[in-house]
Amino acid sequence: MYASHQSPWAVLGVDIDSTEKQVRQAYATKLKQLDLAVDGEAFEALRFAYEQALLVAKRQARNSSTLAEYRNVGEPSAGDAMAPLPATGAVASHVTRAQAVFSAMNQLVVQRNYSVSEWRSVLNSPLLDPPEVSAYFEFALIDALCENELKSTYTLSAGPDWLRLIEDRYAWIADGLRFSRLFPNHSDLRDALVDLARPRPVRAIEMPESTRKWRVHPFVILLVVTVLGNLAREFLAGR
Amino acid sequence: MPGLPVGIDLGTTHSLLAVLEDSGQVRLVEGADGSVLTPSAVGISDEGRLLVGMAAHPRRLTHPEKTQVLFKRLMGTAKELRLGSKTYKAADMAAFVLRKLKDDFDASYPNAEIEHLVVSVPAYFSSAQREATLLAAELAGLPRPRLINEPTAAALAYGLQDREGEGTFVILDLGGGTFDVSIVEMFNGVMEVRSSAGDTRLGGEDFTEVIAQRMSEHLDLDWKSISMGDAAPLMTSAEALKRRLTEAEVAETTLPVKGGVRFDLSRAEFEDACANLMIRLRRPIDQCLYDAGLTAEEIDRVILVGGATRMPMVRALVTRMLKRFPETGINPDEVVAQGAAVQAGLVARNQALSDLVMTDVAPYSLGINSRFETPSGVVENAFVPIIERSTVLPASRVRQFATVTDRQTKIDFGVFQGESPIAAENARIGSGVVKVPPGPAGAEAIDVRFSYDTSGLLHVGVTVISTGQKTEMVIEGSARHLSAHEKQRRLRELEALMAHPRDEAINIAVSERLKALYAMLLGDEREAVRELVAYFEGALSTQDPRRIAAARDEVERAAMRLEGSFVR
Repeated sequence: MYASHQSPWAVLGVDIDSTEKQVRQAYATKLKQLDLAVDGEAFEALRFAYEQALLVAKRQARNSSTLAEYRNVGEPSAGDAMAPLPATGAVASHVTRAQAVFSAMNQLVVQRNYSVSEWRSVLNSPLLDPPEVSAYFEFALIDALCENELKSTYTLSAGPDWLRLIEDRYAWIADGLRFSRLFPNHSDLRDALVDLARPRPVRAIEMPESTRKWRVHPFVILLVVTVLGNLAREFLAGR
Repeated sequence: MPGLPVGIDLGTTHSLLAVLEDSGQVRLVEGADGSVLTPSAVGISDEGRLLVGMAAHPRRLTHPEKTQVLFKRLMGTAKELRLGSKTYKAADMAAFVLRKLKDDFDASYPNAEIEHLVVSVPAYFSSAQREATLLAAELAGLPRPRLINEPTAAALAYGLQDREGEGTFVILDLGGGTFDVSIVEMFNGVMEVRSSAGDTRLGGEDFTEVIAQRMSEHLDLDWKSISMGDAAPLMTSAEALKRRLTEAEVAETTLPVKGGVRFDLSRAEFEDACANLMIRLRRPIDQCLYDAGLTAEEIDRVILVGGATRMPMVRALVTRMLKRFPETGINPDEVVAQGAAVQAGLVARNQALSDLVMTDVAPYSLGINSRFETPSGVVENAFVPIIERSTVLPASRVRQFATVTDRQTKIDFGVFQGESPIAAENARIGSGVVKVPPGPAGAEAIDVRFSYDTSGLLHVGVTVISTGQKTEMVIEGSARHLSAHEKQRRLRELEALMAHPRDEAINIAVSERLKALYAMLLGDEREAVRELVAYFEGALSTQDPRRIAAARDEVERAAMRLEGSFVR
């Protein structure tokens, strides 16, 4: 993409088997020679070379299993995005500890209970604090919603307050690009959420008993006016 | 006159100006009252004169209809703000504050001028909000500034302190009105922002409002329909209570209504009431880690910026989420201004900073609208990102688009920023049209190149593949530039309004502070304030600067003691 005829290592001026540290050092030195406000193209070529060389250096040095594990939870490939992957290692132990919150969430969805206060306490649980657990929880939540609600009715029976809470936490609607990258097979859920965000037609709102008693149909008013008008006319004619 | 690099932190609740001196040291400039913090408050006096900063801030209590605060939240909107009989935009308010800061600079450096100016903005500020900030600087008669993202500025201030430092750090900036998170990697003098995320409508003021809302419930008032005059004293009491709860487990106060109503709140109750706000704090932290492709284990340091990060619940959440105790080495109120001054030095290619470089990222995705085909059907007006969020700047990216109908002769597109896959749900920042030779659908195509430079300007270049014809455009947001004539006129208006000599402004600030205290206190304490007012007015009437200064000192000490008695 960046028309550089040189290899990343040639651009940086380092050996092909350089360590991460050496690659960074070389990038830093070259970067300080540029003025970012004017040398945009040179910067992009340097940046591209740096990212490539860094990737190779990191791959050579990779021994961290936790990193790979998080990538599995956080960035699934498009094909297997539906089911949350079985968590392993450190994440698994965190998730096991957070099991109570996962079941509480599942129960709420199964019961179609969208009480904002109950959901708030679930979402604010300190057990979900580790970002990798919270990423796993997000998968589980989407799964539960799709399994229990969406699959049968294509809609969610939640209210706008619940949606606002979820939006505050995950921004599934506002940050839709992230949503579709992470959950490419769940555009139906996003559609249902967008639908939920739309103002409902007025007739769908149930009138409370007390107000309903005092509602007068416009036709009744028209009738009363006509009758009174006729009476008045007769009265005047009678005079 | 020598030109100096200057940084300004234009904050929601207060603003600061910092100068990078020739020695490479950053100095915060003090106002006439000796404080480096200028409250971001603008008001109009009973004589119709403009009051800015300390002189205006206490009047939000006594004259809410003639005082404006928190206007940063309205930057870039068309909302009209009332000051007495006149209305202004948020950018005008910001210009008044900037002008006051410039006057302070001129008083501290009478033989120098501002040469390179950097003004900080929340990382998540949209193009319209950034444009409004540039306009404010222009209206204040300042040189056209470069903008820097607030967490990046904070990182620079820390980077300057520890140039040999290496590692990855998270910077959380919870200010008065906005929340920003950035992940910065530092190595060999390079400060590289990896990702940033935020919420422009979440800040310390929202936590204060939670308390004020509880107070109004306690008083059987409806917070949503409460008048400005009733809300102001509650917000002041709530602010004091919030600060007290940073150290104390329980705090109580007497609300200055209905002859004094007692109100107490425990820290646990406060934290419970803030559950919604805590949920909103979590999202940008998660998103920032995700965008940078990092886990909490890979973070070396967590740095807190902004006064609202003093709240224990915020610290606890951050510690739990990032598994590190957060640090606050530099005063969280001052760090952003310091970093902005460092950036001004970098722009000026200051010798003392030659071993430091900083790169930032695009805080949101930029792209155009297009018709999009998916397995389940055609999506009209889909948003196609060209430069994705968290791309390192400067960046240039290109994507190809084809015609969609037979014999189509032009391609019409809008330029958008945001994260929604539906173009209309994102902010439209420009548009373009190019002519193409007619042909069957899909036969003609254009290359759309987006180049986003370090000062936040977007260049769009379109090339028609078949003819090689190129069209260039610069998208600068919707805000127009002022003509030289209009700029002169607005500057004159502003100068006429700001006619107070600096020492007069401090005296006004002290009188207004006393009047606000009078409104807040009851009983004996209120009587004590009445005496202070009389004493200070007496000193003012002598017109003897030495006596006035002595009285001012004494009165300010007494006022501080009384303010301390708001909460227990």
